[in-house]
Amino acid sequence: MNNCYTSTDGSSSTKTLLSLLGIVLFVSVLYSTGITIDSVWQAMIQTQPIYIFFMVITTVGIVGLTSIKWQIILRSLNICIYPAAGYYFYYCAIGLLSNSVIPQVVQRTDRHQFAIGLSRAGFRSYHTDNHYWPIIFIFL
Amino acid sequence: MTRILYLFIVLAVVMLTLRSKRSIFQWINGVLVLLARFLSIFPVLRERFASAQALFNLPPPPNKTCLWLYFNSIIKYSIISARIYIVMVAIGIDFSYWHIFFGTPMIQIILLLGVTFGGIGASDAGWFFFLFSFGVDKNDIGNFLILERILSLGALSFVTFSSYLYYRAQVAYGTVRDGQTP
Repeated sequence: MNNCYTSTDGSSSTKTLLSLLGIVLFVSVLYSTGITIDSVWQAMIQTQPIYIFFMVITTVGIVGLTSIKWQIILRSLNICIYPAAGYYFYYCAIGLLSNSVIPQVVQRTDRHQFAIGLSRAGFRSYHTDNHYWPIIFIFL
Repeated sequence: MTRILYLFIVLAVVMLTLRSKRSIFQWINGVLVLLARFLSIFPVLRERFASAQALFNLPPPPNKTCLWLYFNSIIKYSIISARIYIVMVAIGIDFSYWHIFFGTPMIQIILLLGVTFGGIGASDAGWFFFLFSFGVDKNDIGNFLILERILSLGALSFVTFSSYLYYRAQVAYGTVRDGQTP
């Protein structure tokens, strides 16, 4: 099953290179701002807990809206599943998280996580190479 | 007041196009499909946009579905902007929410291409130039870039872990309506 979701087009090395270039660019941007570890540390410890709370609340909102988007798309495709509560939310959350930390070489976006989730729910034919029109909304 | 007027104009256009035979959504979808097709020319983006070719042969989505999805996207970007605004307030950067609201989609376009994980580097450079062009101090921008990553990643990790626990608890003890346990 993993072959469906893993890069097999031979451009993995290019993606790895681009990801490395991204890190280099990130470090370069930070270097150009002239920040120090001390200033970052000060900014971190001075962050009030209420802002962290707001960050969590907004993250819940973003993940929730992503899960609603997926439910609308699946309903439009006449894919009806009746999973346990929190199914959509969990797969969206783990998809967004993995999209943030795992390079594109591995490709674990919310789209892919959902494909894996649907496969586990019994929809074996639904994988990333067989998307219909709703894929355009993933771009938004 | 002007913003409310703009909002009403946009809503009016949406409502009118919903009544027409070929809605604005179908035109937008067509443009997006063409864009995706163009992007799939590049080897590094091919995998991400590979499905664009298949979209031409399929019927367009219903207007109601389109409307819901676009509405969902607008609300989502409002919340993303709010999250960025919160980080700026936490650091002490004085910046308008509306500037962030209109700047965020520009940065998100970089993430759309998805060349690097989490848009690292590219999105940071975008934010740097965006904020710097509005006269934000360089040091503050640096702090913002680091804190935004740490806080958003921390919040997302927490939400993921919590939702995992909730989901597993529901699978173990909750009610699964149709017996299809994923």
